[in-house]
Amino acid sequence: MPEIKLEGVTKRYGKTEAVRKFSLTIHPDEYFTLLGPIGSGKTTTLMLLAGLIEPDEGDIFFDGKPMKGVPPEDRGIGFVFETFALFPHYNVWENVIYGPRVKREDPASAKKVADEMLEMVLLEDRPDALPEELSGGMKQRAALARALTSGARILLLDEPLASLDAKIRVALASDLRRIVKGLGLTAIHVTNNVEEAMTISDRIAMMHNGSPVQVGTPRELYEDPKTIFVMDFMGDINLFNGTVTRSGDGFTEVSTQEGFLFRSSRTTMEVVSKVHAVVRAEDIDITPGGSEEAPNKLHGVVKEKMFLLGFMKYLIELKTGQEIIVEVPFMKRERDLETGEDIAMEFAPQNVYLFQREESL
Amino acid sequence: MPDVRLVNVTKRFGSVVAVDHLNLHVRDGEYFVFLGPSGCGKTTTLRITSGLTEPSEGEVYIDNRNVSGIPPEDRNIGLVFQHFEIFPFMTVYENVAYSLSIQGLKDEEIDAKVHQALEVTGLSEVADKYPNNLSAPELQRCSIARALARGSKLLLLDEPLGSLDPKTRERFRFTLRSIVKGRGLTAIHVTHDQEEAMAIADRIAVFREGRVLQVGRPIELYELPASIFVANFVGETNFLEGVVDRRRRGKTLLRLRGNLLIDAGESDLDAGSRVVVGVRRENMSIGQGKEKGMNSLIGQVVRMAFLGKLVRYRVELENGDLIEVKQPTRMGKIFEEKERVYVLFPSEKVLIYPYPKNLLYELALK
Repeated sequence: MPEIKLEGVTKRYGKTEAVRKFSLTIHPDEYFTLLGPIGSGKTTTLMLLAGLIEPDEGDIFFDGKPMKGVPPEDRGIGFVFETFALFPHYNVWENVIYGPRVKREDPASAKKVADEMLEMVLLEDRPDALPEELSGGMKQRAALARALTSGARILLLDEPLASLDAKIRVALASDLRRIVKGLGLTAIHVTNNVEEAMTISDRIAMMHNGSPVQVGTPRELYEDPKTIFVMDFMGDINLFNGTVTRSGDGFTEVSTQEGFLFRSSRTTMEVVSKVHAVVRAEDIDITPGGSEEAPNKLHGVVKEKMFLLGFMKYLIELKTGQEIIVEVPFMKRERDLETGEDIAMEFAPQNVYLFQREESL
Repeated sequence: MPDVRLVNVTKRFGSVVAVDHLNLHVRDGEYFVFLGPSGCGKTTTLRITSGLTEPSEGEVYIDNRNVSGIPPEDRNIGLVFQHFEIFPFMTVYENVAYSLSIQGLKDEEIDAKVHQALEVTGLSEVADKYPNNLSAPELQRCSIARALARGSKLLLLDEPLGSLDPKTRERFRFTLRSIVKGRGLTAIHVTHDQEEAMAIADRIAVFREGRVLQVGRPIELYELPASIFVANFVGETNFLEGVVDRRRRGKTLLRLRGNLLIDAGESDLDAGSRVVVGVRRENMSIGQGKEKGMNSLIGQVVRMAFLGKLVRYRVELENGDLIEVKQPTRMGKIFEEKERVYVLFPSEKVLIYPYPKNLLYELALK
């Protein structure tokens, strides 16, 4: 419900800046995700929002109100952790009603809210179950109901799906979104799992070294990544170093160090710029073509193949010795390639991403 | 290069049967995966193979030798766990050399073996580092190097990628498989992650409640799952209930709820039989109109999630059933929520099963 604003928030542990000059506005009712590797500052940010720690610099605002010095219990937040944080000796009902009871809320209205929450998380028929009798997914739903009964308007979720089996994770991700949207909460979700972030979020902040490198919708992050880090984190990429040899007519031509010629229609770069040319594994097509040399064409030998769900993933060794990854969806695959097979590949100019390269790299 | 045979292996914990008269043959040089939800008996079976747990009944044969009563250290196996179990006060080199030195080998011999193991696992450059200076994947390489240095021909791996972050985990699959294949080892790898199993295995055994439901190559499990449970656990599958309307010339016409008709392809089920059909999410596509030769069901997009290389749709059919579709982003237009669409799928991608006694049990993920 509330709008959340971070303004130049910094948090240090000794000399390490865990969160660095972080500014961000999260809209009311938004399902927002902090995505990034371990140590990128996402959990620290969540703890700052919760008030469990205070920033060294900068401020946090909920609906325009500064949160400095406001203790966690007065911030109107619910917190869900990776491990389920249920009282083991209380049953589901007692866990869920615990917050309102401690706060001595009116028992009739507390019961009403708790009933609603249990229904919302699909546990209305298990109020008497002890945590140990529940599956991982059910425990996490009970923890969610508990986080919500105290009238939270902001939901903070720290890797809430990480300890669940892969299969259950997908199902619970869509439950989470449905519940948050149904209650009109503002949710901030921390994860290192790309598919989870993409499935669940309205917008994502891609975190790296304590601050966001890019903020946007899942589609913006994928279609217009601002850095190689973002692209790499979101999937399998193939990276080539090169120099721009021609530019104009909507194309930038790059000659790579390995001697390949790439053509990109995405970015205009000046001639002689040092660049990284990046092509995603899923943007490379296997073609029946022969061994002729042409821009955006590669040749190589299948070194390894992996069967994934819906995709074949191939590791291809180019003539230069470099290995690249190519993914072919089942729907497009005509036959499986064999290891040792010679193949030709190509990719479209709009799928060649160019990034400036520092000379030293 | 050992093979492993489990004969009638059973393990009871009190009144709970964790492993139930299990028979399996893991071949020489095979990368074999035990796959299943938590509590299915896969880890207990691995522990029985390693000797860490004794079976209540049945025998384990490694390289045709009955290993009953033989302790783990005498089974010539390498064990790798989710948590790395590396000595923090020893360097990488010392960790890898440790078990060799207690075997009483000569120094030169130890040195040669350790160097070879470090090279295979790509750790030569960090040989003198201590574990707290290593990344998670390096630690896991270290435990693999330790298993290799001992000369074990059989590697037993219990969720070996479980502590790595998703991106690294995916890369490490290639590494692990190429180490095993490159040295001609036999590997048994336990995981609950179906995608990991598919990517890494020569063959997979799908476990449930202490039994093996199906053994096969990844593509066999994917294309011909023997039961509704396997179709559901391996991959992401839509299930629909129906009745066989009629069958002729390689076609099985089914009537779904709400009188929707689809062709489920070849089957041997008689008209009137109740059935459950499964279609994998990635075998369906979304289009604006009917397509010739395809089952075409009308629906409305209720949720679209852009996943990058894929777009995931949830579509509500006219009969109220929900279908999930995963479509490669590059294969066409992206549809928005509330749009009217057709769900398209060919008859040969329809899996068909007789209606089970307890459908909810078949579909439960445990």
